[in-house]
Amino acid sequence: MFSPWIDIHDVNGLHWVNLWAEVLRLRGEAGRPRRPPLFVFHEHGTVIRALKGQEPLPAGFPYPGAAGLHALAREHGAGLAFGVDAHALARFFAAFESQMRYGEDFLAYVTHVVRALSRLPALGIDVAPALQIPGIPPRLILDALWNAAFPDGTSLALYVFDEGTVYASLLISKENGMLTRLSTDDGLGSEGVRAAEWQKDLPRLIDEINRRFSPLWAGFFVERRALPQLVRREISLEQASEAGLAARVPWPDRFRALEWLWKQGQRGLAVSLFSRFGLSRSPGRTASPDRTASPEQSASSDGAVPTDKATPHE
Amino acid sequence: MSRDHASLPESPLMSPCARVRITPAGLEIDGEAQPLMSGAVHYWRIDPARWPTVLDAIAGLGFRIIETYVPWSVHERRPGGFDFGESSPQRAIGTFLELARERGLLALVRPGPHINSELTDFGFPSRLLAEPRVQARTAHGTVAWFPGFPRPFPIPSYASRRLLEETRIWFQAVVPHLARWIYPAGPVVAFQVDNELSNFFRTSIYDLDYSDDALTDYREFLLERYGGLQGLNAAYGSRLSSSGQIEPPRKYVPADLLLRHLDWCEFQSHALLLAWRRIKALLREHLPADVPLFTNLPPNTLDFPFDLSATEQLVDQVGLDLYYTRRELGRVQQTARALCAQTRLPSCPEFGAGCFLTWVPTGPEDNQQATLSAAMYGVRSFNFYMLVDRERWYGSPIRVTGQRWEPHATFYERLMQVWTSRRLDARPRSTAMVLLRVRRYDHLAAITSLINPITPIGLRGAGVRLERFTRDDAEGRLANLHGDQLEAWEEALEALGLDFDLGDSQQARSLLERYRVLIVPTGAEFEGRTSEYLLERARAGAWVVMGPVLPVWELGTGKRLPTLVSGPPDQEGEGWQRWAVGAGHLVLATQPAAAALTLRELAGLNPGGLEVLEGSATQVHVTRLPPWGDLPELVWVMNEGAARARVRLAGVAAALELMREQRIEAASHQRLRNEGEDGESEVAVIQSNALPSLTFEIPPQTVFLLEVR
Repeated sequence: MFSPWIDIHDVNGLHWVNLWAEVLRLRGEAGRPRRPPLFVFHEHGTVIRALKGQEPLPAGFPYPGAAGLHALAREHGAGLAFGVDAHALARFFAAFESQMRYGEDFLAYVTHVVRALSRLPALGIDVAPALQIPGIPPRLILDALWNAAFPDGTSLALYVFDEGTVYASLLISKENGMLTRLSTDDGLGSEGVRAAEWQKDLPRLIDEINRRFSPLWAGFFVERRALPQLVRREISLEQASEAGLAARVPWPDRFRALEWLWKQGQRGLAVSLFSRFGLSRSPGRTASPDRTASPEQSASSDGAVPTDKATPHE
Repeated sequence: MSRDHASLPESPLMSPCARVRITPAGLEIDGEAQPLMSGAVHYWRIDPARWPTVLDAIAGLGFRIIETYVPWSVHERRPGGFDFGESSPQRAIGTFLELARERGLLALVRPGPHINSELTDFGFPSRLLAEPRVQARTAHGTVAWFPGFPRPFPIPSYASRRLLEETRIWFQAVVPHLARWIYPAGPVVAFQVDNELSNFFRTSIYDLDYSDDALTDYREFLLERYGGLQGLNAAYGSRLSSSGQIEPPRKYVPADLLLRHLDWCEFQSHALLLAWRRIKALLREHLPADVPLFTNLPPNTLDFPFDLSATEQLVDQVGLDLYYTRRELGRVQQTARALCAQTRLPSCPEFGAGCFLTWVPTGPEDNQQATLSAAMYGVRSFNFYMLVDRERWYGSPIRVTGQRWEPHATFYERLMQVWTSRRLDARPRSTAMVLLRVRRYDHLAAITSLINPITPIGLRGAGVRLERFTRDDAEGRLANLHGDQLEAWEEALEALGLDFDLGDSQQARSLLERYRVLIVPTGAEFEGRTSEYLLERARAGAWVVMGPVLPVWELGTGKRLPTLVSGPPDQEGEGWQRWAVGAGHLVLATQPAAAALTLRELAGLNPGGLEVLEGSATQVHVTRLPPWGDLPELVWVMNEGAARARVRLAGVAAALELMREQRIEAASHQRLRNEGEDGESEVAVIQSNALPSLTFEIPPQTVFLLEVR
């Protein structure tokens, strides 16, 4: 997904900071206060440390197991509860690290971690309520979906405007299955967006992106003040566009298909579709050969990582 | 030099005849003081045609020193074959240094081997990281991975003999090349040894490094410690017949011999120092002995297994890298306090200017307020990383084109003006009091940790109290007591407006001599040598504060410690007892808040004279720099809280906020000038009856630097 030599340049510091601030702000709009987690560490069936957040709780009682964790959390007014065997975290790390191969990219690392998460109970870590770990399709399928959604030789653009200025921006390009370039409006130099009249400037901006980056596959341009309403679904994207507060230019049919899938996924259909096609939660080993860039000049392509099975839970 | 500078030792490694020296105030070049304030610029990431413009822009901000990495992976074209500009102008480091010299700039160079710099594979040649003999191993025998973006890589072992062989080849090429530009022939005044040496931030003690070469080092360490196998068998109650049978602990179970795990902790620190020593030796094979060396620790590494003080014995300067936001001014404060206590020259070899993309988003205000907070608490040398923007970075004050990015650039320009005109390099912050972390208690926290191998560096950065996640047994409880006491003392002292530094129980004693009050959390089990040292200091006239229990046994051996006090206390109150010991005092404090209040009176400690009228007293702070020659007093005020604060500063009638160049005057003084027909005489009457004070508001997460007028 990520080129090892990805060119990240002309990142406007304010745009980058604002982008994340906006994500957090919108998440705050949608989120709710959370209770601290409960941590219950145990060894040979006895709890040897219990914490609510970082506050100690009495220990020394029998570990209630996965079934009893939820009740324990409720008893202490905690949120998510973790029951962790004394040496389980080391086993968890070994479980995903043993799967890594040198040359795999960051996405591969994440998928190994997620697959190991699905084996937590076997590794000695109980979570209540149980984590809903999505099944990770084989890398071949992920890459196919990725390339279908975002073809090689194209770019994506995101712009957030605020009272006549660029509040945040992001431009990314893709080649050979990988993101090869990441920048912001600064990457367009003096031909960056004319923010005060961005709606009228869009055609010129898109031409500039096409010229300096690669043909724009999809761009989303929006006024900051419209974002909370969009997130809360108080207005639709079409309504925002008509009011001159947002624009999706262009917006390929594939994105519409993904949008539809996303909505269905929220109704559980995506999960059942994956199940129907046998893409279940069981992690297995990485089935597909490494197709990402191999280390240059490397004599051993696999980084000589020994085959390793995680130590069985004692 | 002021008495404070004279009281701080210089590096014992520096030749007295060296033309370039690192002093407690910065650099000294041919006998002239030069503040060690620099800015990072990466030549290989900038179009060579722009190098002159970029260097001019740096000089235009008032900087005289630049800093750059010299990456191995950029210069290596094939194993053993390096390009320093012969085939690519972008690699012509020599040309770059020559341009710097022409502009009167000096340079710090960092040839690794570890670079990071957000380079893929952190500056190591990929071919090297792929070699099994180079790779570090976890306790489970697996290769350890650094989740780097965009590509994770296998963590190299600093014990790897293969890595050292290859590093020698790299240094054989790069160091003589750079040496051509060593001052006075060129601008280079110092070299860095490696970079953020920390097993790539994985410092949980049962995580790394279990590679064969690391275990060889471990066995040699134990044999030296115990004088051979026989001594080791006696200490451990073992029956080993050969050194090859010595196995390291891979996890802790309560039935284990604690000493074996404490030794493993000691080895963790030893292994880091050994790595530094080896890399330094490789540098010195080609570097004249009088060229200063420095090194840096990563953020959030104020404690075990890192040892600032011991690291500083190997090089001329050691500092800590800082990348904090304005919400974390308290952490900046804490780091600066530790640097002041534990190093000769409190410094940050990397201080965030802009940021990298895989970190907490950090904007210009974050960089600026964090800088001021660090300066307030005594950091006297900054390398702003990055002063010039580059790929995989954002937010620096100078663009790759050489243009200034405003208003951020103006902040640095103003900072350099104030720094040099007000001689901030030469005016050290001094405080009478030091609070000591106890390293052995940190060992216990590491041993009994239930969250191994999650790295402590990451958790501390997130504000996690590591000792909370330990076994609830005697050792874990002692570790928690330690953490609770440190926190309670910090809060108690802050609430009273008392400034202090943060030391380490096993740090260089020479750096502790300047404190007349030493506070250390103690339980019945404690460090033997530290207990002896503290008793000596009390007898010599210091106030030594321990508690909540006086030490009785040596932790790890169970030997009884010499009795610290005898008989009833000479004085006591709620939460404290005091004994006269020689020329000084020993205080047993069971309640830090109560003890701190009494200590302020008994030890004659002066708060900074800041009254918090609105806001949290524990989040608004003041430090003062007395007048220096013709320069007036400077007062730093920091509000680390999330709300505005209103404060009153005693003894000050008017001040100029130096960074904003805004005058602040006492409102009552101004009002009186406008009242009455004879304004002057009314002012004179009021002045004779009232002590001057300045009341003002300070925004949240902001630092003011006031020059008293």
